[in-house]
Amino acid sequence: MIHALATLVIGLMIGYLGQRSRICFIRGISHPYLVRDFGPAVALAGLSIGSLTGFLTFGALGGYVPGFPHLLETPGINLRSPMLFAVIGGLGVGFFSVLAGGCPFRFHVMAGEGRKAAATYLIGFYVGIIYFSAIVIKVLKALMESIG
Amino acid sequence: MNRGISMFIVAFAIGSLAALAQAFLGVAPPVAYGICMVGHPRDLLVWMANGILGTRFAIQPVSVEVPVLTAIGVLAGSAISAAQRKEFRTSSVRSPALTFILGFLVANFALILGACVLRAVVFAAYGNLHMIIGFLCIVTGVVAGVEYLKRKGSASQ
Repeated sequence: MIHALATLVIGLMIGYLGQRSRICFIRGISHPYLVRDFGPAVALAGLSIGSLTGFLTFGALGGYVPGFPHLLETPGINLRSPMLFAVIGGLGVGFFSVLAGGCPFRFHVMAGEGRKAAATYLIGFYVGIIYFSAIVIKVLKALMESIG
Repeated sequence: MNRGISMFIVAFAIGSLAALAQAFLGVAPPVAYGICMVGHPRDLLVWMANGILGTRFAIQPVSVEVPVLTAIGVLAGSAISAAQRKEFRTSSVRSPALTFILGFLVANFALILGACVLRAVVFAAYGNLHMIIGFLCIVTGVVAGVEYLKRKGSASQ
């Protein structure tokens, strides 16, 4: 139960901060490339440094951080199922998020601001989630079995 | 405050909260799942569908009993901030069908990856090699998307 309340409170905090800062993690990648504006890119640096610092600190304080850092335990790169999915999924997320104009977090924030375009995106996003859970996941499982 | 510094601080806070959620607030397993803007909405929707419609869609272990509520929190937090600053915008949608389809596609590819952009960075910081590769592919996809938009823009001029 505590995790549900925690995520609700954390969601409120990051939604509030996200609206104030207009932070977007896709813009953090696209703007440096498109207009040589490296301002939004600090979002990616802040996020990775913040989470890394958090995992190190909270782990040292006795928090639940199993297997950190993962890199030491991750098996060698192969092009079988999970790595293939990481490649296909990553390329698709990057490409279509640029066309949409932002990352899923930014669209949640914009929908909270009352923007109809963001709400339309989120309806498609949620329908997509159900479609994935009902159909795509079965196709992926069959694919994983077929390639071993 | 300088825009870059404030964005860095906000991003740093988001990353720290994601780590805190996992370390002390029970938002795990899986690991590096403290904040995810596709996984958490998925858990909430699937939890409701399984409970109401009796479906048996896959859900992350943390959300089996009670789902994570990040998506609701973000929507409400943003609405509160927008209300305080009088920044509610009810602008019209230029191409609703395309916007809907893009949302649909991003959700599906993000679930194939197993993370939104935010969680991909947090999971990469956790040291997961798959997600480091996944993040590099997101960057490649973004570059491809920008090039596509540039060519489409110059072709239509």
